[in-house]
Amino acid sequence: MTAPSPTALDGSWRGWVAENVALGVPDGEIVSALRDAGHDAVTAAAEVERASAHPYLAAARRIAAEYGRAEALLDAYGQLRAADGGGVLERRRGVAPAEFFARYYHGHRPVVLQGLLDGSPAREWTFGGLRHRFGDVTVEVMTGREADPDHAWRYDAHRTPMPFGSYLDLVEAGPSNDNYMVPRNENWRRDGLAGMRDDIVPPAGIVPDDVLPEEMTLLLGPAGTVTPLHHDNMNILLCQVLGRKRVRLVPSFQRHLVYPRGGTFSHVDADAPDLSRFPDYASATVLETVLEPGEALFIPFGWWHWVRALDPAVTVSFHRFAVPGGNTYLSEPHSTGAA
Amino acid sequence: MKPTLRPVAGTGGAPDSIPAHVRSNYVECITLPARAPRRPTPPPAPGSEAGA
Repeated sequence: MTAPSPTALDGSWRGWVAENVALGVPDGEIVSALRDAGHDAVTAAAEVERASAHPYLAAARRIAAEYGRAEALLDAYGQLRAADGGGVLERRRGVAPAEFFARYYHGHRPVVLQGLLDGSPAREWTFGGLRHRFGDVTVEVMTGREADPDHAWRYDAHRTPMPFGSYLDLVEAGPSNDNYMVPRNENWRRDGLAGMRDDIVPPAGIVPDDVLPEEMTLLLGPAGTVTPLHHDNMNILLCQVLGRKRVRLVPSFQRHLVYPRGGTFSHVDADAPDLSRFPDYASATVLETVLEPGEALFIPFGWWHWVRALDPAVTVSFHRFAVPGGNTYLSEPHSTGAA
Repeated sequence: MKPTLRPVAGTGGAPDSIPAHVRSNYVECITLPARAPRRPTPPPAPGSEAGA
């Protein structure tokens, strides 16, 4: 066979070939995918043969084999969970802190908890009332989201300061995903919004009552905001104060089924998954619920979640819990330079 | 898929520590089910340097 020109495939496709050879995808399938993408059969076959023979790929295959064993372990763990209620998102009222920590926090299970916000003055919030009390406070809102599909990756380009009252007008103007007050805006730490923070009573025994503003976040936006499928690196208690949100969850141990992008996001649109492009997502366990005002969703670290606001909505989250260290964190892998 | 248990022919493979009454059931090895072959990863985005 004639050796291919070094430029027969561009760098991105050669990287793709190396990735798939290392992962053990059958050669025929790699060649077939290359042909489907418009590469000629001879070049495709030669490139796969060349990659397969490269000593660097032998090392990558060994690493991929270990990765495969880790996946097998996660799949087996998933089978155990599936046989133990893993296909259901539990909805509970009156869960004592001891059970919450035993079954959900340390059990690494999500749960919808009802009644946790009972007694919080925040349950009396209205958009009009918030406008009256805090309308003059300058807040930061993420704007221009619709025009930038990658807004979640370019947060800093979308920061827009405005009076809180003006933003509440936008929130009530109608459905939109163009603007959203998301956690990274640090609004919750603003002195002018201290009164809002004071209206939130931390759930007794689950969140310490001396929880700090930086250990909470405020999410506020119109109906129609969408947070793409992603995971957080710590446990989160998402408390729905106003409006409803549809939430989809995928277990942390199914990471290999969601096509991670950049570590904590996913290539999959959980609202309309393209299974021709992301076929393994069809095997993922997707738990779905509508979070009603007054309900709280415990999302364990690493669990993937997609969220759409069904109404103008206010959500407050806690990321400190009544455990030693305050939370459990997923650590970053050693830096490899990989995207 | 369940693992496949393959009994040893006769009892020749069973170590002495296996009691006589279970020697006929002695299993030489367990063949683990193979995972399904991997499917190709999504093609690279135009202009990227690595697979998606």
